[in-house]
Amino acid sequence: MKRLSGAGLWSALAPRSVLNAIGRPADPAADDPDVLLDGAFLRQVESLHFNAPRAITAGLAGEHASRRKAHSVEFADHRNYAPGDDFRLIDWNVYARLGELCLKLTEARENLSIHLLIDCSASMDWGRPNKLLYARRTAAALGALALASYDTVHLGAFSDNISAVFPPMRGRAAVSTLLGHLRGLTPGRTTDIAQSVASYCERPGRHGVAVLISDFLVESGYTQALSYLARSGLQTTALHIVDAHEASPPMDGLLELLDRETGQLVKVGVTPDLLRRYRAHFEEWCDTIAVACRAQRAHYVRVSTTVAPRDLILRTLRQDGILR
Amino acid sequence: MNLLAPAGLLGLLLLPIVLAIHLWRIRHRRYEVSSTLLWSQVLRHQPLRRPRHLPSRYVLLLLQLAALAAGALALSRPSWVAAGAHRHLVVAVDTSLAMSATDVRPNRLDRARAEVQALIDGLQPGDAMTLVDAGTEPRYLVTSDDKGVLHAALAGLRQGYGPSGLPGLGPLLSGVVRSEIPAGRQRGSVYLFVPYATQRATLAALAAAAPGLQVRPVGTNGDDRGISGLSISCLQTSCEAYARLVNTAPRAVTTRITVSVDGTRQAPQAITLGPNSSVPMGLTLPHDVRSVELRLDGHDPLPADDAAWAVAPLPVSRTVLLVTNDPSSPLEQALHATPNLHLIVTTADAYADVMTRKVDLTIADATGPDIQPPGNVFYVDPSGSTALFTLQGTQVAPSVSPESPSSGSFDSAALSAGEMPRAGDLLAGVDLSSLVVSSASGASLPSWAHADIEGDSGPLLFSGITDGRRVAVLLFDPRTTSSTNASNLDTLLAFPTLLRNALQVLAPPIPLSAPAGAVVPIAVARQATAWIEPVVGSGGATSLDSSGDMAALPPLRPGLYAVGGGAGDAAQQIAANAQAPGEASLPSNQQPAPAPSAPVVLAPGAITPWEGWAVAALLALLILSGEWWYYVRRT
Repeated sequence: MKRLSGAGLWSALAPRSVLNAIGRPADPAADDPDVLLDGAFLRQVESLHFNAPRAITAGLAGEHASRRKAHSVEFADHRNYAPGDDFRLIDWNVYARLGELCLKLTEARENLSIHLLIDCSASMDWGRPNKLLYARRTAAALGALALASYDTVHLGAFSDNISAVFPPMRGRAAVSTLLGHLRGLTPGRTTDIAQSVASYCERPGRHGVAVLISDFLVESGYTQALSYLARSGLQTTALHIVDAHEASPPMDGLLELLDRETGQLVKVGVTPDLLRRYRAHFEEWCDTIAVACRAQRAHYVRVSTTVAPRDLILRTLRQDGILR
Repeated sequence: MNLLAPAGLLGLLLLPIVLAIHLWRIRHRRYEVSSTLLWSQVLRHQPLRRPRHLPSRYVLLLLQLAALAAGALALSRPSWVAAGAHRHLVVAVDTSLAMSATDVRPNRLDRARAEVQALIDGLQPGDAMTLVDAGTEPRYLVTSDDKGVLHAALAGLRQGYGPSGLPGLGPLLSGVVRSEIPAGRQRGSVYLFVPYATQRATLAALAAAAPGLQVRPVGTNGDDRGISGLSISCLQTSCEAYARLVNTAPRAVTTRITVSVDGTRQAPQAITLGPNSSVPMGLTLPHDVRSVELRLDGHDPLPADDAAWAVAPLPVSRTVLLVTNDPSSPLEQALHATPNLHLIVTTADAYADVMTRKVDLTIADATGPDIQPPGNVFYVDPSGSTALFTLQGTQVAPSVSPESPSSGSFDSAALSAGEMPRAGDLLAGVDLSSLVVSSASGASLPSWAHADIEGDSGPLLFSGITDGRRVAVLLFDPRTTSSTNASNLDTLLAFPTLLRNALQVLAPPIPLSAPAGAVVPIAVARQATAWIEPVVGSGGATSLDSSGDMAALPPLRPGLYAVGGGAGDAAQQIAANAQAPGEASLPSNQQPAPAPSAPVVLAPGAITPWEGWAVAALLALLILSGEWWYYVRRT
């Protein structure tokens, strides 16, 4: 079991199928769709947490600081004693020093709900590496770090509608379940992000942090989707998955462009000028999505599939303050 | 630029294949994208149009085509020769009898042919060659820079069996050199392949006609003993054969001679020929002999003249058609008295052209313009013009002046060999001193004819050959009783003689002999089927090309042949000898052998062209490398 030695405790807890999925110290960027995480990467993400505002934590005890004060060992503040307060909370050291009765307030540690929403449309099933595979690996890493923080992970997949909503997962032992769910995701057809997100948000208990992983290749609807998420009280992070050939297609000459999602054919005579215009339009389009995200107080992260998920999690998302 | 291996250009056939592959791929080029959303949005502002620049695929295509073309060019081995460096070779090959000698294997002509083939193969691009057949009758063959044409012309050289024609080669060679090798333009060489021991004087004369002539003697041994002539003459009771044996060796030679009479071989006799000698020989033969064959036993380098054949002259049967309205025509009487003559008499009214079939001669006696027989014809006192001549007026009491002495004699052998009858042939042995002509029709001499009897105001008798037909026209009537154009010819002894001559000249027999290896025209009966068949040896009858009145004997190997379709549509024998009967000697072999000529360098100063295949191959490699670099850079 040498190959599993790096997985530590996880290797002892996880079933063999999960170990196969996470334990190989192979290059996770390989095209093997069954390999979503490797052991070393998993150990690295265990120390990370979602940087969530206190207002969105849930009631269950967890590891995220809460606005509520409760019995704990984490000091928060002092306040003057008022009649009716619990005598057990009086800080006698302060009384001995100042001669005033002050209560010692401690901070409650609460649970955080992480909603991972993955775009499984046909357009995501494209590129090298495959964008959907990249999204699943990213979601696996984010879900694993959330589970390591005893956060509740909600996983949903959508294309033209919400296609799968899995039961909430909590605790480190649920990593295998999460990876199983992610492996089972299959590409759908077209994308209706607004309808999908609206359907997802209609369900109760939608609060916490939402990570929307998509290529946003839709004419419209992403603004509404972001609005639905915001109105549901979810702090949203939009991970915009972009293939390098989408940003700068290596095309030349007369082509028939086949739409992966719709099967539509578009004839185009590719010239350098057209390529320049396309690249400029692509940047405008990304900026439009970013602006829409900012309007809904959501984080926008443009992710190129040329960047390894390891770098995305350990560097980019931390630098952007999404993880800490 | 020349291509040393033009077949390499077949590689260019790959060009359309590569082009087709590219076009097929361009037409079906489909590119899958995750979404056409952004492209559609871009194209809303920039409609679809064909790219004005060269797509990389086109660049790759052009590079591939260029590499392929360069490769094909390399395979075709392009070469360049500096301007003015091309050579022109004039090569003359003697094909006379002496070149059939086998002192070199397989024989002298084949050896010369092999050396000329080497010369042809040694031609560089841009070089040219002129081939001349320097046989018995020298002739220009071909000038070309195409080796295939030259090889074909060389293969067409046939072995002749006649005497050397080198003495007459000078003017032809000089003309060819002047026309084909302009001074200062090309480097020329003249090669002459001649039999070993060709006379020095002959070669010197040729060298003067063609400066720079390089003589290539073929053979190693000039010794020859052979039969240079054989003929038969018959009297009433016996015949005799006359032969001439020749020995060109500088030493005496003893050989056995075998005589076969009508196919019956006689006992061989030994005979000794002195050095460089020519020995006459006579043989007494039975009076009814048909043919005789002489054959020398033993081996010598020139076997073609070791045997000779001769055919005894036999009476010639002829068929003559007489068209006359005079039942007592002196012509009919005279012809009836001619031996071996089958006479057909008809009137002008009953005459039809079909009656001339298989007739050797048609005699039109005082006929009008409506009687124009095809074939050989003798017009006697025609009353109107025909397609062959035009009558103009009347000659009154013309004085007669024969064109040649009346004692002259025509050469029947020459006539039978197709030669033009000479002026006076009709009058051989004809005494016209007593001829009195009251009047004669006037006529201008046609271009094809010559006057045999000339009057003071025009011809009275003319003859000639036109379109293969032998024609004679007598412009007065031989009868004394004639109302117009009367003469006293039918009362003279000259009349039957003139008629006999007319039969000989206008309906000649097939010759008794023909030179081997030469095309010989012979007169045949009108519309008869002429054929030839070897009497001895294998081979069946072969039809001869005939124009109706003339046929051509193909080049024959020495031997005895039967020929049909001649006068009287009869068959007769003909002897084909390496030397025509009567030839006294072999000029090329009779003289002492000169010292062997210095060997000729067959391809002096060969121009080595600069070949550009390496450059083309390097170019193809560079283009391919560029194509690879471009492809890698684009992808």
